[in-house]
Order: sequence, then structure tokens, then C-alpha cells
Amino acid sequence: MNKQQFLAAIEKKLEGMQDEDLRSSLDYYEEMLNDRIDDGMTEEEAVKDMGSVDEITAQILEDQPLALVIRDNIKEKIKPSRSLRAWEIVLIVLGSPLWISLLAAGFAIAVALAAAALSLYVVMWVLVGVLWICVAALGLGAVTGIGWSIAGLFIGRPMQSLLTVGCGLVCGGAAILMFYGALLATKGLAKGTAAVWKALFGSRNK
Amino acid sequence: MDIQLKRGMLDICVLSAIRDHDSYGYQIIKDIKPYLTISESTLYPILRRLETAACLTVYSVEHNGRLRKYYHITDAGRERINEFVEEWKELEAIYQFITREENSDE
Repeated sequence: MNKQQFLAAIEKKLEGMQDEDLRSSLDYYEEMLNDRIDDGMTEEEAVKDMGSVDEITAQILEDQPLALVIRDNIKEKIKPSRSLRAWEIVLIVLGSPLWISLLAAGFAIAVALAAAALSLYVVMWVLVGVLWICVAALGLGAVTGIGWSIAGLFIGRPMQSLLTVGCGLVCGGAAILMFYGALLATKGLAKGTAAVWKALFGSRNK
Repeated sequence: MDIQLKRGMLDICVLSAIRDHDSYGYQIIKDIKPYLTISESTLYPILRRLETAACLTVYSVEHNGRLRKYYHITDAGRERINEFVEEWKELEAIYQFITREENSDE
């Protein structure tokens, strides 16, 4: 190890120490090395004669007031990454008419979009409700049609009863088909709702 | 030698090494070494401590194209040496008492 490496090693070990104290320690050891070299030693011999870097730095730190060592360490560790500078604060204050209105506009757009999405969703459920009403109406039509045709047989109007039984059966068939359609639509919408809900709020809970 | 005793002695030895003429770090170590083991890392805090206590002053002199720090003793520093010598006289009396010959009088 030569002189510069030795001094650099001490400096690295004492990182975070007060500049003034660090400088005077380094000056002292540099002078000691130079005096040894003047005395006829080589750089390597002088460094060797000095003792280990760990020993030297331990001694220097021991001589430091404890409070100072702790304070320097804390300062080093919890230093905020950066704080607002004066001109940034001025810019924020001066720009407030602009950024506050932009913020308000953004907020309004977000609210409008949410309202639109909600109304779309309500309309979807209304459509599904209409499907179920149709199913109910067709079912009612089938029941009344068949009932009416049986009554027609008893009062002696076979042609009319044939017509109404036909209508009743058609209504019944349509009702059964639509029932499955409505069931499918309801299930699909419910599943979709669950999926969207989970995507929006689920991640926060789990 | 007892470490506490040595600590107290080292301050006085350093002051004594600069008593007759101003001296610099490496020279101080060379002067003290025959009597007490002292390293650079031990000397450094002693010098700082003595400077803070105003027992010595520091000044720089150019030597071989670089600065070398010289240490100059103050009156307070001389006083410290004198106090030590006085204390040592008391210690010497105690020493005489402890090592007196057995049954010498009776």
C-alpha cells in the first residue's frame, strides 16, 4: 500500500465525520508518513510502520464526542432525498389559478364518466327486467290461451278453441325459450358485475 | 506498566518533549519511544487534548516543500509539568514508606 492508498483508506473509513476533524486527521497522518520518508524509509515501509488502518480509525472515532458521532450518522441516514426549493413553491402558488381549474375540470370529467357508466349499468338491468316481464307475459298468454280453448270446447265452439290452443302453445313455447334467454342474460350480467367489482375494489382487500 | 498510570504519564512526556524547543509529531514520538511505547494514533488525541487545554500551541513551518506542524509549549503546559513533579515528590515519600526495611528501628 502506498501513501495515497493509505490515506484514502482512512478517509473512506471515516465517511460522515465532520470535514474539519477529518481533514486535520488526514493532514496529521500525511505529515507522519512524509517525515518517515524524509528519514530514509520508502513509502511502503512508512505505511507499514504506521499500523493498521482499522486501529487508526478506531482511535480517531474514540476521540470524537459520542453525540457528534451519532448525530453525523443520523444525518447521513435520514437525510430527505430532496425538499421543495423556494422557486418551486413560488411557481406552485403563482400557478394555482391554472392548476386548480385543471384539477377541477379533471374531477368533473371523472364524475361525469362515473355517472355515465352507472346509468349504462342500470339500463342493462332494466333490459334484463324487461326480458323477464316478457317471459311472464308469454307464460300468462299460454295459460289463458289453453284455459280459454278448454272452455271453448265446453260451450261448443271447436274452431275458436283450436285457434286459442294454438296461440297458447306458441306463447308457452316462446315463454320457455325466453326464460332460458333471460336466465342467461341475468347470470351473465351478475357475473360481469362481480368481475368488475373485484377488479375495482378486490385488489385493495386482498 | 499499568494502563491508567501510562495514560497520565504520556501527557507529561509529550509536554516534556517540547519543553526545551518546539518539536513536530514524528520527532516527539522518537524522543519518547525509549521510555514509553507510543504510536501515531495515541499521540494524535493527546496533542489535540493538550491544545484544547491551552497547554501548547500549534504552528506550521514549510519543510521540503510541504507544511509541517510544530508544537510550542505554553506557560500552562510548563505548569502541568511542575505539578506532576511536585506530585511525584509526594509519591516518592509514600514509596519510601512502603519499601522501608523491616524491623529497622526496634
